[in-house]
Amino acid sequence: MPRISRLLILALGLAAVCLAPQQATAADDQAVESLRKEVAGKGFLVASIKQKRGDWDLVLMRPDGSEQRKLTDTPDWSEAAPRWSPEGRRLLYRRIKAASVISHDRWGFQGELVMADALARNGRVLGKHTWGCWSPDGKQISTLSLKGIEIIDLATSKVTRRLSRAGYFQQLFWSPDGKWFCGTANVGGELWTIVRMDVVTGKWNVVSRFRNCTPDWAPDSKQVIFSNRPSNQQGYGWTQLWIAPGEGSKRRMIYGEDNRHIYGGGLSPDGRYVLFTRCPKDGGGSERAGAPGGLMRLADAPIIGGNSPALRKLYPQAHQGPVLKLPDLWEPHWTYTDVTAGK
Amino acid sequence: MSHSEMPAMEEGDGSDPGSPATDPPSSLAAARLLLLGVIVVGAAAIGIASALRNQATTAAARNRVAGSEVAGSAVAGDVRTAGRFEVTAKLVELPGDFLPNDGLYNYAFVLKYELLEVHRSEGDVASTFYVAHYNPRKTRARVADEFYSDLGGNLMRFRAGDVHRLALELPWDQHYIGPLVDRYHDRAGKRIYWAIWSNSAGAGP
Repeated sequence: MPRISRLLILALGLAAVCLAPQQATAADDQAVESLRKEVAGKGFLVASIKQKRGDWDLVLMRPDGSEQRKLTDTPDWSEAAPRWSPEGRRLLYRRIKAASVISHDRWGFQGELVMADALARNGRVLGKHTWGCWSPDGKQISTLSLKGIEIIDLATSKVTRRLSRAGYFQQLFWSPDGKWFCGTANVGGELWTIVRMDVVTGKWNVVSRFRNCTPDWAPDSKQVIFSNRPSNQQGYGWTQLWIAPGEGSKRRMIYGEDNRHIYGGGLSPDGRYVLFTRCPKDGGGSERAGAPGGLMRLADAPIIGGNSPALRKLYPQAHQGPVLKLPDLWEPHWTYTDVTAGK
Repeated sequence: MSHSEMPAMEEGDGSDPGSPATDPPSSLAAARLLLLGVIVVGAAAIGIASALRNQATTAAARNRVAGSEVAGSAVAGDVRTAGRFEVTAKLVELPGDFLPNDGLYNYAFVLKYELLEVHRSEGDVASTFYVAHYNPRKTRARVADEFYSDLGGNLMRFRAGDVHRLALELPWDQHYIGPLVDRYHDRAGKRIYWAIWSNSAGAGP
């Protein structure tokens, strides 16, 4: 082969190598932009965002992170872990003294539970009510404490039912169909186990064992989304986002990324999209300034972010994206209700 | 120095090579030297014996002080008032490593004890019993936090064979709600106490 031809082939090869990542990035950008357009008009997110002065305020935004608007502005207090009621007209959140460091997995024991309108106005402090969570009809809340699981009627503030907490110790959430609780529990000497409990009978089953936390319900009440740090990693490992059927059969990874701990998992009201945070240090970022938020389609799972060579070996079929980046935040929640409508 | 001492020193000083000290001593001088030697040796012996005696006395005194400190520290703080149970017990073993306590995760760890003495009790305490200790990597003096502010003690670390004086509550899960590492979970029917106050009451072998 003439020398000039060999040089030409070499140059073309180099050009292909150099251009390939740019093409991939452009494709990624297009996919992310497509996702952004797809979700931008689908209701609203609310999340806690750390302020420069040190406290956390509630911030409303569109699911693509646009149109950010502070709902609270209280230098002496942090507003944490907001959740809209099932009909989207009220908001529960915790009010914690601004000087306190918010624990990423014990925040439900901190401060007081507040009920307000959907835009966090006219807040009423309900009391400690640890791990307070909406009932499906929004008329009651469930709580978790040393006394057990209590169901409290919001109109009368009376405890209408008390159950043994079994091994639950944090993050108790009531399923949208009202039939189940999920939470993090001690089971058989193994801590940080995700457990589902029948609300009527109190019978429970394991959803996921070994180093799990921050569970939440899928809107269909059939699946539980949670964070998990699997043992098949070197060293300390990285926390990933997983999902499993409530009966505890096969679980699967939704999103993982080496060098990031994935927390704050939650689904959109139709279950099609996933919210999460990508924290460079373990924990969800509540002990610091939050963590970059992310949004993806559940149908695209599993997605592996970053280079993550070890994780890609385990999941060779995983997708690279798209993941829509959201601002640094903590414990986002999503409603399709137009909370800004009317007053 | 007085002027009158100078001549005496000069007389007895053998540092000058031209002085009489280099001459053969007379019998009187020899006797003086012998007597001086006996006195010096005797004084030295008395000094050494005295020093040894003082040393032994000081060590004994130190031991007595140490003994009273151990006894004092075993009942220091809230150990006599916290909880419904107060016992002295031997830590039987450490069933594996403690998990990291990096400030991010908190947990309690179940340890097995052999009962030595009951000081206060509402109900029986078994000869072998189990205690959940919060964040066991921390000294008991630093273990209290926002969530469990009543915990404490002077125990610096957990070591198999050591004796602890403990103020306890029962059952553990009515006093603690959090992750529990229980490596004895397969022992059915065991009681797990919740440690409120943990003092050192003696080292193991």
